[in-house]
Parts: sequence; structure tokens; C-alpha cells
Amino acid sequence: MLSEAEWSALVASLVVGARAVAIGLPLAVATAWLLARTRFPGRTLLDALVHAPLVLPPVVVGYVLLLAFGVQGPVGRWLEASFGARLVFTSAGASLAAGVMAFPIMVRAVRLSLEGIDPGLELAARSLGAGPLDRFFSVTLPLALPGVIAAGIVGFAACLGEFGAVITFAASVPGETRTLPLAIYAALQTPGGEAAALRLALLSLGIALGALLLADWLGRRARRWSTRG
Amino acid sequence: MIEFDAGLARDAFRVEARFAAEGGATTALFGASGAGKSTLLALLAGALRPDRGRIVVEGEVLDDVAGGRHVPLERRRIAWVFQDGRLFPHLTVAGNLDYGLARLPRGAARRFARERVIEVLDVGALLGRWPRDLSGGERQRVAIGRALLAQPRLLLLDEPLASLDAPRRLEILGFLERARREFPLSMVYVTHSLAEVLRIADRVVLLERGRVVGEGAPAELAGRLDTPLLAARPDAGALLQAHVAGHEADGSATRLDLGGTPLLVPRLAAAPGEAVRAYVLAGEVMLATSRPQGLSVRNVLPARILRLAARADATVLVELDCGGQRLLAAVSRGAVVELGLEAGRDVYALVKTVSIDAPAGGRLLLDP
Repeated sequence: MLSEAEWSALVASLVVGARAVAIGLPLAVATAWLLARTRFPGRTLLDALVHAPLVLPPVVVGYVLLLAFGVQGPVGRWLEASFGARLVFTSAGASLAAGVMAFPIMVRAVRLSLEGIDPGLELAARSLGAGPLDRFFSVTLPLALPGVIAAGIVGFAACLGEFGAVITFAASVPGETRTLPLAIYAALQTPGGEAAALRLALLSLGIALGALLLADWLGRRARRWSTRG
Repeated sequence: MIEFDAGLARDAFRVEARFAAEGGATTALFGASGAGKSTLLALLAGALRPDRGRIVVEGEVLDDVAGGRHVPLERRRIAWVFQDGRLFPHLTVAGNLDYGLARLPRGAARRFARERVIEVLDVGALLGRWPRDLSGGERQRVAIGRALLAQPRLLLLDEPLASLDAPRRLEILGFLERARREFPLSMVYVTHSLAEVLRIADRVVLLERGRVVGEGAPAELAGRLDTPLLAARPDAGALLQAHVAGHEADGSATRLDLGGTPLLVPRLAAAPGEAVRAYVLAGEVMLATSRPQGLSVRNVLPARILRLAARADATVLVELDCGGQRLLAAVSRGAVVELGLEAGRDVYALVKTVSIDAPAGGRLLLDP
């Protein structure tokens, strides 16, 4: 039913999205916690920085990444010198671009659920002898779990759909960085590729719907035990 | 042993307090809402950091502003029971109970055994349940158990009964009294209920606008005229110390001995000779200038007027000496003029037997 190129686009999308969420979600949880629960100088700046990808054109985000992580960029050069790793035009690079774009969405979802937790519960945990890290893992994170799961799934879906930042930073390398939207675009650029574009679009739709249903189901399951008692 | 001498500037005023409590005693912090009770408790717990002074609990300096010392809340071993229980909704009752126990430092003394705490608070049947399936009273019992199992050296209770209905309040008070007998531990109890203070506290610290305005045993402070906070309350009254003299033959009432004067109270399950505290509301005491005849009131106590204090609501609070004990009566301003009530005058205090009653909030109290 799907051609080999279409299969490889699907696999590339899933790999790029999964990697971006696996690395991005813990960072998003930490950032959301910092923003929701602490006050420190530079907090507003961090907030703005995290949310910048929401309001910037994705191409600009890709370009900024290229400046920093490109072969000539400071971080890119350091990565190549220290680990021999190169991000541009690789699947990992596509994950970075997609993850940065999805980051504010994940942070918002986690932050909302963190802000819904009664800080009094954390105070109770403190009075029972729980230190900061202990408190976070034994009280805060379990109670925020519905939001964290939702953030992961919505973030994953956003990564699958990312186009501008990925094509700018990681280009459209078949089997590597050519994710579903990039493959749809490529098909539309090819004479007679409309049928392939339609199949890929339907595939995207299916994955998106599946993700939303999964998020809903998991959210309901998680809420059942984390509702305020 | 608690030695508290610290202060902190809050939005509206400064909380500045100094008080001490013996080890094993229950100290009530008493005052109207906004008096600074909760701030004081948060300072003691370590949730807030004082900007002046020292806080010492059982010999350990927990706060010393001059010395720059502040032991964080999680290392103070001071457990805190909140008004709303604050059970962890994602843990079962057993998980909640064990939360503090599991975090005890290695080698810390376990003075309160898990089985014993579960038994005393009667939460054994709840262990597998979730907090959202518990009633308000059950939640509070679990919260108290969870705090005790953290093996604290001081237990803070922040209006633990405020969110419960009246019958539930009495029930939890009973559990608290049992816990207090079973598990010797210093407690600080915040409340604005006089009935709770009289029933549970060994010592009372009166607070007003962030300051300590009185300190002493509950019997001394109940109805103290020079404490506007108490005198102005509708439930102002006097706490009488008495002994059970005997029971009426028909079983309808119990005779108390009030230092020579008999006082009839509703039947009490106590043996003759037992010490009893009876709280008599000022609003339920009438005054007569001569011994009245043909009245249904059975307690007619000879008394002498010590002082009169006008209250804001056009009533006058009369302080009486009744066989060496203080009694308070609230009368109207007109009655004072009409009867010529003044300090030094001998009168009769009339107290209805049924007005000295326990169910309304423990006005009749057995000494522990």
C-alpha cells in the first residue's frame, strides 16, 4: 500500500518525534517546574526564551539553530571536536529542530498541571521530612503526571508536523530527515505525486487522531488516582 | 520544651511573640482570625523565616537570626496537621501513614509504633482506601496518624477541627485526647474555639494583632475580664474546678462540690471524688439580690461581685467570687442600674442545671 519512500518517511517521522520527546520532555518538566514554583533573576527572560518558538517564524528558529549548531557554529564546532558528532542534515538534528519548536507546547502543558497542584501538599511532604528532590518525585511529579503525559503526546504530534525549522536546519534527506510533512511537500513538487501526497496526508491525520485519543485515554486513567482527595 | 522568642514583619502588621512551653505539654495558640496564629505556627514549623529572635525546641536551636541559623522545615522533625488534612491523593491511607515513617533518618528513635498509632486512631479498616473515599473525620484521623508516625518531637495542629461539623469535631477531639495520653509529645494547637482550648490545652497563649496579650492555664484565662478578646466573645464564661460529690438518687443529675458550695450538673459518668472542670457560660448565669423562691433553677449560689465590665453590646459582664472560684454573669445595663449591682455587693448566682452541658462542645469536662 505504501511505497518504500513513504514507509521511510513514516519511520523517519516517528524516530525524529520519539527522540525529540524523550530528550525534550524531561527538560520541559524541569523548565515548567522552575517557572511555576521558583522565583529567580532572569525568570522572565527564560519564560520569553522558552516561548519564542511559538511566535517566531519556524524558518527563523531553524536558521538560529544553524548559526549555533551548524558546522561553523560555536556549539556545532565543539560537538564535532569533542564527540565527532554532527547535527546538521541528520535525524538527530531534525529532532533538535522539531523539539525546540514543540518545547513551549510541552512546557505549557506541564506548567498548567503543576500550577493545579496544591502547594500545601508539598508543604505537608516537607513537614514529614521530604527534601526537595524527594518531594518532587514522590508528590509533585505523580500529581502532575496527567499533564506530563499530555505534554509528551501533544509534543510528539507537534514534532511530526514540524516543517519550517526542520527543513531549514536538517534539510530534506530521504530516510534521515525527510519526515511526513517534508515528504508531502516533496511529493507535491514531483509531477504526478498528488496520490502519494494524499496517502501521506491521510497517514498524518491517522497518527494525529491516534495520538489525541491515546492522550485522552491516558489522561483519564491518570486522573482517576491523582484527583484531589 | 519550646522557647519561642521571634518576630516577622507581615503585610498588615508585625508578628512578635515570646512564649515558652514545657516538654510534653499542649499549648493552645488562641485568638481571632488574623491575630497571627498561623504565622506563628509557620515560624515554629520553619515554613517562614523570622527576621528577629530565636526559636529553640528541645534544646536544638532551630532559628537564630543573629547567628544566621535556620534549620529547614524538612529537617526539624516537627510534624504539622493542617485544617484540610492534606493527605496525598495519589497514595492510599497506608501510603500516607508511611510517608513520614519511610523518611526517618537511619537510627532515629521510633517512639510511636505503627500498629499502636493505627489502633489508637482506629484507622486499621481504612488502610487500603484512597483519601478521596474518606469522610472529613476519617481524613483528619489519618492526617494525625501520619504526623505521629513521622516520629516528631513537636506536633503542630493548625485548626484541625475547623473544617468538620460539630459531631465530627467532638469525635476527633476524643481521638486527639487519646493520642495525647498514649503518645507523650509536645503539641502546639492553633484554634479560635474556646471549647477546644478548654478541653485540650495545658497552657494558652492569647494572641491579638500579632502580639501575645496573655499566657496561662486555661482556667485562669477563660473569661478574663482584662482580656477584651475573651470578654467580648458570646461564649465568654468561667471555668469552675470541682469534685464529684455524688449522684442524685433518681439518676437525673450529678452533684459537684465547688469548694463547699454544691452545684448540680447533668448526669456525669464519674465516680465521687473525681476532679471535674465545668465551663459555665456568662450568658446563662442570672443574678438575684435576694434568695429567690419558687424557681425551677436548682443552683442558687451565694456570691460576691468583684468587678463589672461594660461590653460593646450593651451588656455588662459581672465577675463574681463564688466560694473562692470566679464565675461570670452577663446582664443588661438596665439590670445593673435597677438592682444597684456594684463591686462588693452580695448576690445570688442562678445557674440552670441543664445549661451546664457537654454535647454543645464540651462545656462539662473531665480532667484527664
